[in-house]
Amino acid sequence: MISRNELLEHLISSIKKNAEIVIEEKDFDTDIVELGIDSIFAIEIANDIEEFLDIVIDDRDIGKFRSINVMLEYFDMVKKEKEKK
Amino acid sequence: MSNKKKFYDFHVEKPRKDILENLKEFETFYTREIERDEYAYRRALKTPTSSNVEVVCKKSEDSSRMIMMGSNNYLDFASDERVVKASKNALEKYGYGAGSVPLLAGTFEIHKELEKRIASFYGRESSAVFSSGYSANLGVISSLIQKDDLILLDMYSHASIVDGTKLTEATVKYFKHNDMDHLEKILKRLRDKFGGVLIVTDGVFSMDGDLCTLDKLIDIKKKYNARLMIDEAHAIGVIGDTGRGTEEYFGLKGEVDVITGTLSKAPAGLGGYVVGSSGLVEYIRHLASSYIFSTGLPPSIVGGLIEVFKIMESDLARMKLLQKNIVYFTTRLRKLGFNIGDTITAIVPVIIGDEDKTKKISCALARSGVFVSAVIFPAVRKTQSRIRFSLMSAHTGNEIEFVLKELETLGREYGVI
Repeated sequence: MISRNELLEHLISSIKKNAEIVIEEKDFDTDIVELGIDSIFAIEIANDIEEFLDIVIDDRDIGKFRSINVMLEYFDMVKKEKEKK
Repeated sequence: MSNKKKFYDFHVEKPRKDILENLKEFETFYTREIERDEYAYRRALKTPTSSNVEVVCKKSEDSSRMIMMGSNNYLDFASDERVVKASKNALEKYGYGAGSVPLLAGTFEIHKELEKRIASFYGRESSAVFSSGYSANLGVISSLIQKDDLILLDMYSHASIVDGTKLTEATVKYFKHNDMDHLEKILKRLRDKFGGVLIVTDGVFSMDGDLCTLDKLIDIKKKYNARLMIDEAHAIGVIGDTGRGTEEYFGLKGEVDVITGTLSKAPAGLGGYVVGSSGLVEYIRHLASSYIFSTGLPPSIVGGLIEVFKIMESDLARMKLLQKNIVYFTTRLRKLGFNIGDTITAIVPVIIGDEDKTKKISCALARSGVFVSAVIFPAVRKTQSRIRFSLMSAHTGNEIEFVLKELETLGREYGVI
């Protein structure tokens, strides 16, 4: 089972890889658009996390990714739902 | 005083008790914005739309002539004498409105004639005409797709396609623009988890003017047992040897499962369509809410469109002129050093990059008498702001040279080239 911290680490690493943006803790509630993560980067990052967690998300949900914390909550929720099954 | 900087800032969701809560702030913002030179929405035309138009000045009652480089009237049919005459004749014969929805009392004999012509144009059995291209995409996608299906969209697909998916309960995945490796990677991972799969893309992309890679899409859809839908809104009348769009351009006639399009761009009227087998079209006609619950097109529009299709079927002169203008304009821009992406169509994006620079150049072009649109985030990526030029068959050599000269001057002044 993947912990929330591991998920967060992977998320930050994916943002660095796909968007070439280094995220710090102070950025976790900043609007991701202001951080420089546009919809194309968001999809690439989401694809990465899907593969990491072996889940399928609806890419329409990417519009809800307002901040790193919101993204983390979303993927953590999907991960937990998968673990329940 | 509003701290909002852009229109899209008002779309950010936040807790509230009243859906009209932010209207006052919006009004303050809007009142300020429309006074700026950069606000170029809803500029009013005083003349029929063509390559040269008279535009009402924003801050006075005066008007000025401008070279129209922002219209989808690619073949200049909007004010064509033959089309206007046919439209008038239909108006005289059938009156002003359709009066009802198509399935009930809103279908006239000319609606059926138009549908036959559109189907024949694409070499298909049947077509259905919607009240707009937007509603055609909403209706087709929402009627065909079920909960356990997977829809795969090119990232740059038109808003109407994206909105069509929102009316379904299927799972939606985006693939990177024209990236067939990415599309295949998604299908490899997910195909077996879903029932039906629909791949959707624009034939010609509305912001970049490039084409989908139809040959590769056909290969992939066959390999993974998927269906393919393309939106030919900006392709009809523009690409392919006889203007029959993306299938014709790639020499793949009949390979696409579902074709939609609009009648408001090259055909210069109003409405949208879907073409396909009789079974497919009648299924959509009887199940698509946007068809069932929308009043039929006004007969005068249908009369004009029938004339447009007659001309498009028999006379390629305008299309040839348009293609000549496209080749000339894009070749000259590339030679000057402008980044215009991969366009080979009437849509020519001059990519500036910086949003402020894009707006300033667009304003300067307007002052010189060139009517164009600045396209900025969120319509495109923040670093990809552009001025979108739309060519027409009616643009003269002098008009094109004038635009190129102005663009070259501004390009150098702002360090774009």
